[in-house]
Amino acid sequence: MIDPSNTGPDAARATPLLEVRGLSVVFDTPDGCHRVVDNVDLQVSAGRTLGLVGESGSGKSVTCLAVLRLLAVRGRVTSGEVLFQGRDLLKVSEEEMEALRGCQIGMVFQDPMVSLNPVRTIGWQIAESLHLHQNLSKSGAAKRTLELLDLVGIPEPKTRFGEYPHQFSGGMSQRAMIAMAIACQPKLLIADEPTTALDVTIQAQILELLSDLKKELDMALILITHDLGVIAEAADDVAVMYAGRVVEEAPVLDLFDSPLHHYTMGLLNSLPRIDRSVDRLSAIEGAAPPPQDFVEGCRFEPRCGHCDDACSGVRPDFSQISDTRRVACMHPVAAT
Amino acid sequence: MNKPAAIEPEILMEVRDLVCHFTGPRTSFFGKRMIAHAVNGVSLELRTGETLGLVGESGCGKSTLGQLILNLIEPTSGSVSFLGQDITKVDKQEWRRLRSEMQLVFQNPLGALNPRLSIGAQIREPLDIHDIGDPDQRPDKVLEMLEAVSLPPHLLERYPHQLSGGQQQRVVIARALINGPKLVVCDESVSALDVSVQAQVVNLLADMQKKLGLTYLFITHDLSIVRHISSRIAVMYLGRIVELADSKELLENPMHPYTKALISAVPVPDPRARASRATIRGEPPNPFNPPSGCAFHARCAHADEKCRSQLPDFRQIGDKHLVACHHAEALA
Repeated sequence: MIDPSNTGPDAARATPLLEVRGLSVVFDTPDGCHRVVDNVDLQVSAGRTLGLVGESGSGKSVTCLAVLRLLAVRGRVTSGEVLFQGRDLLKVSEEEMEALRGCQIGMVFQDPMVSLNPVRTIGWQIAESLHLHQNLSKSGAAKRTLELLDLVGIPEPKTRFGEYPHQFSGGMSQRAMIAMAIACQPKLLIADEPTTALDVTIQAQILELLSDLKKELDMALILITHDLGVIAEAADDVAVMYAGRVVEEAPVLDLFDSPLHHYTMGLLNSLPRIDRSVDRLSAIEGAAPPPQDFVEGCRFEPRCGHCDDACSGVRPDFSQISDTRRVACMHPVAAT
Repeated sequence: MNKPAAIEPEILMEVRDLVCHFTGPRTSFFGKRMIAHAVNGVSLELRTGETLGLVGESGCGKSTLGQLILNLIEPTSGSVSFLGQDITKVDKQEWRRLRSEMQLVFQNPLGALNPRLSIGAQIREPLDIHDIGDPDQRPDKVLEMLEAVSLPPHLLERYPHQLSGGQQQRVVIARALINGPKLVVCDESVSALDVSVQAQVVNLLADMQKKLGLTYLFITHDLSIVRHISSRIAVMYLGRIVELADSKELLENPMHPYTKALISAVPVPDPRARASRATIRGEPPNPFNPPSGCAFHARCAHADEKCRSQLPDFRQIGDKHLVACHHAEALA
């Protein structure tokens, strides 16, 4: 268990901009309550990129929606705190939260085509957040919007300003979404699978853009993805999620050099890679459990080749391996 | 049972100068309809027992090509022959017989399965439709197939929504293979699956190929998977194949600037490889309004006047390496 007084990782970096402590999210469904996010701790500092990686259903998107207080009616946070610049976002009023969202915290979603309003021009949509959050005049907002379009690499901003989403390609719409998210120069940008719907050549361009913007605006970035290739490309620190829990946290180089959790190891081994060929992929047998089958003990146990009696029944505690690394496994890879 | 041919593999399927145009909206109220050149003169062959990977970005026409090969849509011109027989010209009865020799596995298994049929009925259906074998023995055949794709027998009575994504895709594969087809077109068959499950299904496809001597046309946007599964790779760009070679040769010695860009854009799960990235500018051109000359010239760093005006030939360079680029030799 992490000792709150242990300031090791914090001292090594700056004070985190966002700190999530013990966050749990429950979804009420007709067949019972399911805890889809279970006691998750995360932190990210200004100028850093936290990569949140996991398979579908691991709770990575729900965690971020909970941080923004955008959970659907059935989802509710049952415990934990979300400290943004020292304030608990779960306790502030809805008005304050509205002022924070889109201003201090920006968000980019997976599918730009459904996130954009089809009956408004791109320029109008970007200017809208400038009106709302920065009280800019109409001409002021338009001027700033043109700057933003230019900043995110949209050619001919003046023409594009008056166009509608259907006239934009997938890559261009995602650029427009990013322009909208950074319009008010947020301190934190949450990008949920920002490149999953895009082609690889466009994905490379968008990842480059995000990393440039992060430097330019000194933002903290949370990058949610299922793709370890994207993580290797863009993240500084990584949290690996499995079945609603964070199972391993490490700086990106350490994670890829020496994964400690057997799930991380299995995930890396099961990736087909363009830079080397193998005869057979080493798949992880079975599938991740759905929320109704979540157990208290280690949730990876049924698929793990290194488990014993100690693994079931009790939740594996985090062992702090170094200042920056921790893993929730009874028998981490290095020890076996 | 089919056996993969030994030395010179026989040609299972041959596509010659295949063209498929789709008509789009009118340019104006009285104007002509716009034409999308989805597939624009493709020639290739599939040899028995091989896996040909077909890669390209969205909109390049790779799925259209897959559907043309299965005669699901009619080509504008060109021919598709299966074991020497032009399938675009065969009569209905003959086509019905041929159809069970070629199968398709789609991206989204839940969309491909009938939500109101049990898994067992689902896998059995092709046998009933094509009236293959003794009806009394069909349940055994279904069970055998279920085992072959590593699904437990108790799933027979379940329905698609009760299965996980990986299990659903196994059912789709079982259903595709139960008639003993020769050719399977896999259109993004593993793209929707999580990495750990994706590896299982890729391994399953490889096992079934070994066991049944199948030929795959593996359509995907993911070059990492293609490297793993294919013996040869064809790269498509705006309706044309721009490069075709053995997998290892293509990935280690790409000649077309587009192939090079595509390979370098694939994120490698190695944080130390970050710096070696060369991104290309721009986006794929609009198929309604394809550029003159080489379709890639607007995004290519090596383009010159010739590229802008002349369409490059698809020609052979080196050992079994075909490429459509004016400057392939100079860039190699």
